[in-house]
Amino acid sequence: MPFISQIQRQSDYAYFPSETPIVIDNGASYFRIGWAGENDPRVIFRNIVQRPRHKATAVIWVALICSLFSGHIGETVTIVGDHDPALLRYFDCTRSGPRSAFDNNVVYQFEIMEYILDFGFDRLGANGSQIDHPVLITECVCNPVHSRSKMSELLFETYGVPSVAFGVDAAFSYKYNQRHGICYEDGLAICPGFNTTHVIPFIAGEPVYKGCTRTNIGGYHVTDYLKQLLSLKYPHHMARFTWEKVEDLKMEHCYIAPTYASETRLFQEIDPTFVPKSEAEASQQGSEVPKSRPLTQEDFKIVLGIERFRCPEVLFNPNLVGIGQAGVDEMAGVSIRRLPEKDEELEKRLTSSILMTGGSCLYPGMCERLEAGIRMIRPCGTPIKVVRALDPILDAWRGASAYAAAVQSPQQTFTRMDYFEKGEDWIRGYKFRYNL
Amino acid sequence: MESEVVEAELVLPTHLSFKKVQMYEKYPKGQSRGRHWKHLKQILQAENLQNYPPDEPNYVNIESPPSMHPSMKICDITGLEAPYHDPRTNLRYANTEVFKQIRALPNEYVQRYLALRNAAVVLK
Repeated sequence: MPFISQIQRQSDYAYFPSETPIVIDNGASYFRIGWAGENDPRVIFRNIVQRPRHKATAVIWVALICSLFSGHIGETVTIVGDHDPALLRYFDCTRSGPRSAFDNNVVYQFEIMEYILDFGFDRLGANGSQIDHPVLITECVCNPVHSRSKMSELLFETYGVPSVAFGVDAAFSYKYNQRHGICYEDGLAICPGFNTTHVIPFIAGEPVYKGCTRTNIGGYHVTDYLKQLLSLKYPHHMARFTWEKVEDLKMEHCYIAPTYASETRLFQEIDPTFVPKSEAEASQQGSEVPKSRPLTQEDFKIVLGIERFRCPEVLFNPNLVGIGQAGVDEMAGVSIRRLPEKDEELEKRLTSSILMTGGSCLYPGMCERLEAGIRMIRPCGTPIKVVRALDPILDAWRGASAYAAAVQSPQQTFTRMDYFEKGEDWIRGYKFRYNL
Repeated sequence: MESEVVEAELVLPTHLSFKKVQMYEKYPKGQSRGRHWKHLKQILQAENLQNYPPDEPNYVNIESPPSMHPSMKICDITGLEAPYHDPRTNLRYANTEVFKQIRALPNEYVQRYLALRNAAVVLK
């Protein structure tokens, strides 16, 4: 089911006292912002910015004359998040496409980040002369110092935030699920995200970054693979396959096969001339002029056969798209191998509490496939249990919110004075403690 | 601005009360603003990771190693298992019908299929 953003402006900003932290889950796909202690983020939108030019249509000459006084037409405006395409026809979007502040999963474009934070705070209802609340924001694992310090600088200098804390989203999700009994103190968190997939071992409730591993494959690559395959298969429909439509198709139809080879055999047996047979999906009606013969209804249907499980297979086999790194199941083995102490009991505890979180783990069949993959690489007979988080998309925000609402969390934040006095080396060593 | 655009509040306003420094003051018009942001490669280079002990986790050394499993060869066009490989176009194929299709493909499509796998020859 396609994800819908909520960007209603909130009206109760003034009711929250200055100690209530604002919790931001700054993800490469969606940006979620809300108040600490609540169950759901207030504002959710896609983490992209478009800067089109406002164009004049031939009909509105009156508006053009008015614009001589107001100066709106022709100027570059900023639109944050994804919006109804019908409204976007007033803007000339051909100059620059949607831009993201992220490169892989690290924030590098702080001008775009500033637009996004503007929009987020504005929709949260902020209206004072500065943001008076402490902010808890998520970052990637082992975030480079440059990115972290520029982000703190942005928050302190431009928004006047009193104190800031950084945490890893996968860790918040794990702690939230641990509190609800889904996983235990020692375990593995497997987090397939938008651009990257992380596997982080947790010992005694704290993440051990020495054992953490990251592969640069994620939901974006799956969608991109599906988009390329469909445009190669249906070249005359190529212009209609926008990234958003393909993402909707992916969310609706893709699943993960228990073993790739057995599924392909299924497709071969049904029809020996190998034409892939599955449900036909009616694509959007096009208004294209027929080229040589009248277009029949068949031309507007696209068939999604083997692509349904070929594309998510990329998460387990990044070699399919040319990325030479380990897939998700192998990463679990690598992560356990990288731990500093070798302890068989600990490893058994780790594999018996494996949590899947993150947006890209929602494919049907992922749990079983992961379990089979991990069983292949661990010693015979180890207990393996793979569970999915309660809500893989929102759990990171919920965990961060529950953490921020706890009384001891101000000890983990750092203020503007800290940032200026202690300098870069201290920022590099800033470590967030997840146990309270 | 058209009324429906104003109602939907599509556009980010230029002046926001809670900001100490507004965007138009920070990035005045006409100056090139996009070029001075460092990309990830430059950020990682600037971090000087060789000065720190190599067993401390940082952004670069937590990357996963290459896969130890034998690589799965699937047909570029159909997605079935592909034991065969075409020497002329460098594509993988599953059976003879696919082979006929491959030999009939124009070069542009061949390059795009190869680019899916990151196997296309890029002439720079």
